[in-house]
Amino acid sequence: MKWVTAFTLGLLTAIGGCLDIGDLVANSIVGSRFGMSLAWVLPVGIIGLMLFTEMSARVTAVSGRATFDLVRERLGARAGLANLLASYFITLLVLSAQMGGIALAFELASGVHYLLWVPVAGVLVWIVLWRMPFEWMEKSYGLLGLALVVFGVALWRLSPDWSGLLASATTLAPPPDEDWSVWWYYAIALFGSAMTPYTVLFFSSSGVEEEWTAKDLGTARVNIFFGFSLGLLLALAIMACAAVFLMPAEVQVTDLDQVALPVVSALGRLGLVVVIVGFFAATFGAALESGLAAGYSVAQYLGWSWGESVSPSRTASFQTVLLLSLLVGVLFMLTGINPIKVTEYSLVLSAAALPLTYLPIFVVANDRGYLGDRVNSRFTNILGSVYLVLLVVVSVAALPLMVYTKAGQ
Amino acid sequence: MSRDQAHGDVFRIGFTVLDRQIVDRDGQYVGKTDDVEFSWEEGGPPTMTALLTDSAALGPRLTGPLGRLWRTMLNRLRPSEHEPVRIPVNDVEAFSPTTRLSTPVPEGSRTLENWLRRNFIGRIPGARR
Repeated sequence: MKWVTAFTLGLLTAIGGCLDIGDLVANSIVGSRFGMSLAWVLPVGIIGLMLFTEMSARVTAVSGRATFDLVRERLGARAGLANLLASYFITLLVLSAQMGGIALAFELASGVHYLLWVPVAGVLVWIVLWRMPFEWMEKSYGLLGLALVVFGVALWRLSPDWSGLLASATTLAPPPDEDWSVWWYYAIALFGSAMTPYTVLFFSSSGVEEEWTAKDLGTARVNIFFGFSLGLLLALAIMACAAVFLMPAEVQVTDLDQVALPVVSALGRLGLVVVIVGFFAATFGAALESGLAAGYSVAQYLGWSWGESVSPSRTASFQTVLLLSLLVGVLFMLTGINPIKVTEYSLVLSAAALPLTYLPIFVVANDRGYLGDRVNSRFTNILGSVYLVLLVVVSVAALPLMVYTKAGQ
Repeated sequence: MSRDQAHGDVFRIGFTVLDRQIVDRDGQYVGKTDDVEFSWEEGGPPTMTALLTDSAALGPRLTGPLGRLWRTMLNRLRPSEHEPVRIPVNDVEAFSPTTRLSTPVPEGSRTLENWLRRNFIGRIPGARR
């Protein structure tokens, strides 16, 4: 029985960790502009995420150390610091986007302008980080995040032309009115949304907090596989909803309203309520995770004590970084910058920085000093190397494409 | 060069000592090994006598603009007579995988942590849950 509980909870965590404002926005935009023609990016991204999350879970379970903790040891002080600064900056941007997302979900529910909700979101996130024990946190937003299944229900109720959707998914080209460069730009944004680096940072650090051992590795693997697969299905459903409903109506996704529109039209008021709950859970959970990831990375580089379940008075520096990061995020969103744009930029910048997170994981996962005979198998290494090449290509192409397409206009 | 008995291979300071996490005898985090201290007698070979831990000790090890930025920033943030914390090599029980000390947290380390606890984080309600 205990095993079953652990399994379901882990599963929820994986789903919760898999969907955030980035996925909601990216899948909707892509679906509304390109139909299903970019759907192939999602499985590519999710398989990569599974591959590297498993590596980092293995490192954590066997060595008892979080991945970022080992980055400085293995890369040295200088490269580690450069990595830290880049990762921290991007995580901060992602955190800001999530808080914007929470505020937009509140706006959708209340009709009150989102800017008024931004400070509320910041305070709520901070209170939960300050007071709530780890498990509770994961359970609640994991469970609530399941509300996003409503996209699947909505898709079914919209009774789309399934063969048309499939045909669109197998057409690896943009629709006639869109450019190739823009198509590739969104492919990169989508890839960035699927492989969000903070997920891995958070996952491995929470593994340390929950004191995983090699015995927990089996459960972790099952959770990664099923949780991320479900996350993939939900992401596809969001994209398909947009492709079926928003694309023919030529609706542009500029807010969470449009993301919710297909659900509302298929399921009415009840659908709206459920989808808002889902939005809130996904963005709130991701805000907690990315906030913690920001704090973890700094604390682990500098060798401070860190942890969500440790009393804050024993992790004063870590807690200060958390608090300051949240504050900066709130202030940044309060400038009135469009949260959807922030999300898009955070995805593309994440994509540009992907090798920074995944290369060290790959290196450590091959180190017998930490892992003994649990180092990567040959198969994992071949697949991992293919992905690293892909990550480098994506990373090199991301910013030039962003400039060339004027961020996808 | 000394040999690491356990593994029979060369003991590389850059690999086994520098940038490792230091914990005290109770497993409390002290910091990272930011630099090491060498001493030598006239004519004798230099030997590693202490670990230095302090984010400021990291400064001189970082070259280029990043290192300059780090040094300038930290020099502004702390009293000018500040010296990095010195941990004698004899206090180290094991170097790998984590550097474990046989003593409690050395005096003078974790200044930032203690300051923040006293003046900021510790004052927020619920800090001692």
